[in-house]
Amino acid sequence: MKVSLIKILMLLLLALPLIDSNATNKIYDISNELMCPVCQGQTVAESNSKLALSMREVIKIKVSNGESKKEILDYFIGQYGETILAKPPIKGFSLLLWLTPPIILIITIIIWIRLVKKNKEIIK
Amino acid sequence: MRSITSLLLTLTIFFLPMSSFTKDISFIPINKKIEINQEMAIIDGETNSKTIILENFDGIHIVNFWASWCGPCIEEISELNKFQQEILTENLNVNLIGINIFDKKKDAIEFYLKYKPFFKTVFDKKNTISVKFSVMGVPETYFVKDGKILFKYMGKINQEILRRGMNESITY
Repeated sequence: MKVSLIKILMLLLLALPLIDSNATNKIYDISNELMCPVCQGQTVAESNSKLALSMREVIKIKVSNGESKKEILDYFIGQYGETILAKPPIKGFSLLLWLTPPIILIITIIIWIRLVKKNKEIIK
Repeated sequence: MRSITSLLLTLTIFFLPMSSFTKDISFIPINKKIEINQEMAIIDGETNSKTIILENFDGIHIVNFWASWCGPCIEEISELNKFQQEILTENLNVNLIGINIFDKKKDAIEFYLKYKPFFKTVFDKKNTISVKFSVMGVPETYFVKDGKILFKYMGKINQEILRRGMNESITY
């Protein structure tokens, strides 16, 4: 009985670094999906600004409290708005930004094809 | 006559929103409930100072975020002190609190001893309060009423703006 208890404790001790590294990975993962609000083009994971340090601290506490990635990201959206996300969801104005370049490209191609056809007809 | 009337109407439409906008241009509306309940170290010049639990704010609270390395924070300290004097002499129903963030406690204590703020000043031990308030930098001043952040002021504040913020918080 005593031996098995020691074995369990030893297994737990061996598993500790694994649990810790999982938490560290989760903190990094979440920090990498959040933009630092006071930096230029840096995520919270990349930035060493004082605000980014505070944000990483909050993420660390929330991860250790067992909150999910979605819950943590939602909390930061509530605090700073959707612009805090490194990959903002494709909807509303963001959708328009995503759609504008391909639409312009398609229109340009259509105009170009028509012009080429027109030129060919003139040559004929 | 008709053209003059239309010109006047156009000018009124153009300048009317501008006049109401410039009045409060410096306050950024927030309108958000805040849960604080966080342990803070009182800054009183001692390294082993007492800690307090900063509970959710009932009534009107003016929360000023500052750091020892921030120039405008040094410049505004006399204005905050003057306003605290006003609170005491006029027995105003408002609390002024300074929260030191993005800083080392040692530096916060040195700042306290040098510039002598005489309103309650605390040190953010956990380094997380800035996120709760969505602070972007220092100095920033938040006007809180019954646990709800009404609006904030970014940058160096003065006695007049503090008074205006307090009055607007009362009538909010």
